Amino acid sequence: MSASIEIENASVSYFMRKVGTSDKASEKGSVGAQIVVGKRYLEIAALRNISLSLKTGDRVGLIGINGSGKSTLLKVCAGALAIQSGSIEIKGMVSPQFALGSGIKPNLSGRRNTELKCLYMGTPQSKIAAATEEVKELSGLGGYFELPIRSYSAGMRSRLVMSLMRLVRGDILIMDEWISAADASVNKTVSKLQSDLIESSSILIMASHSQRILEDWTTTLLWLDRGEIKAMGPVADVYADYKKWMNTKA
Amino acid sequence: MNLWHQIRPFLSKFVRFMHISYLEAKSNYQGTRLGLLWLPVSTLLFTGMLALVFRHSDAMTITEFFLYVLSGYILWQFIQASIITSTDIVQRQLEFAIHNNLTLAGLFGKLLMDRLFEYGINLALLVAVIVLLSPGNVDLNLALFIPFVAIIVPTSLAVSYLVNAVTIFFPDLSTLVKTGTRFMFFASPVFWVATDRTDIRTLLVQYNPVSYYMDITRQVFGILPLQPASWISSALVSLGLCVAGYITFVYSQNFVRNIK
Repeated sequence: MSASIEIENASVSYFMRKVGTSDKASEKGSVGAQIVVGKRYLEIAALRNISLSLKTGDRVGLIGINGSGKSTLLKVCAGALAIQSGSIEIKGMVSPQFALGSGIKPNLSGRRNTELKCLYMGTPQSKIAAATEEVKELSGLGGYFELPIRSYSAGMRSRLVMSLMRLVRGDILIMDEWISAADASVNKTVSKLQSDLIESSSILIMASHSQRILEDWTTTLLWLDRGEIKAMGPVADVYADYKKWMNTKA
Repeated sequence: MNLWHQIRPFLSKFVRFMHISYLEAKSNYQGTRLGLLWLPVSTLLFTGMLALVFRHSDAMTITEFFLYVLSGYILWQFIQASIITSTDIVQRQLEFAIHNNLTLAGLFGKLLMDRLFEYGINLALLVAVIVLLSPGNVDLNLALFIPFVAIIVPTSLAVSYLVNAVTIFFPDLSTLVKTGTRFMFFASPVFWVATDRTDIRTLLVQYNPVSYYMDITRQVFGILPLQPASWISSALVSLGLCVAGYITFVYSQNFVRNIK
């Protein structure tokens, strides 16, 4: 099945309940989307009139300053946020990769957590044992794989979390920044996992600030500013414009 | 054969999510000797205490009263879980769900499976205790278990979404819901007998919908005689809750995802 994302004239807002000093929230800053102070809620207009058409083979990078709407767009594509107006149609299985450790149970061992992830990801029961061994191998945790996660150091935990990427399957891959491990020894493995994941996906949408990452993995760059598309085109051209714009702002 | 092919994916999903519920429930008892067995053991201990402390009717033997309380308390735990664990699902768990191939509806379905898993363990305990203490209770009424499940499962799902939606729009109600649920435990015929009613209990049995569900679960297990009126009442209450839950879901599913 071919994957596709069709977004037409979509606008997305976050809503936050008003609290004491919320009336001052409409003050304009140098970053972030416009905040509209309503009667009961603050409306943060995170994306406005976005139109985007992606099909199998597309590799799209997202750039923009903080609060420009990159994460919002990723979350809309992942189904974590809804649009308020316009339309969105997604065909294919979406695999979001922006909160990798969510759902990890600290009381369970690395093995049990891996089995759980397998079950969530729909790995057939007959293949769970093999997939779990594969994750164990990748993580390099050895005997720690059998211990509760709460006994892991931060680095060990991130090794496991990243190795769990092995279980991810999806037609549409959504990444918020290239994932790098602090530990150089595991970085190569993680990079390989991400490369495999990207290559096997039909569509990639990746937010990043790194020109190298964007040039390596994406062919089209979408520049967002205050929730609107400022430019979209070949990575080199759009990134050059973005850099120039950033220099004028500095 | 064709029917099997149709239901197989659902069965496979059911088994998968039961396995998930098992592993997750197990994690709550990690490090204990009894592990998951604490679920039925704690139910048994609490029921024993309730049955001993609150026994006030000579119309029932201690065994009958124990079974009365056990059946009521097991259902009460399911009802309570449907309400108090539903106050902040979307805000707390949606991101986790999205990363694990679950939609918003799927997340509520998964949490329902968790509740059903624990309920199932307690039901196994109830059946074992009935077979042990009062095997005569097991009769044709047990066939009513199917309509009983058909009533409580969608109701639990609907109540869960309604509670979540209400507490998202009115956060103050979150504490109220928890306090109200505790009050409802005492106001429902879990450990008191409806036939021993004083004036206030008459009102409670009549107007507290939980009492209808308590009645029908006890009828399924032969603890109370069959009363079609309880089934009709609980089915009507469930229908109302399911319709309200469905309408709320349709109209709020987009908005609730965007509230931070």
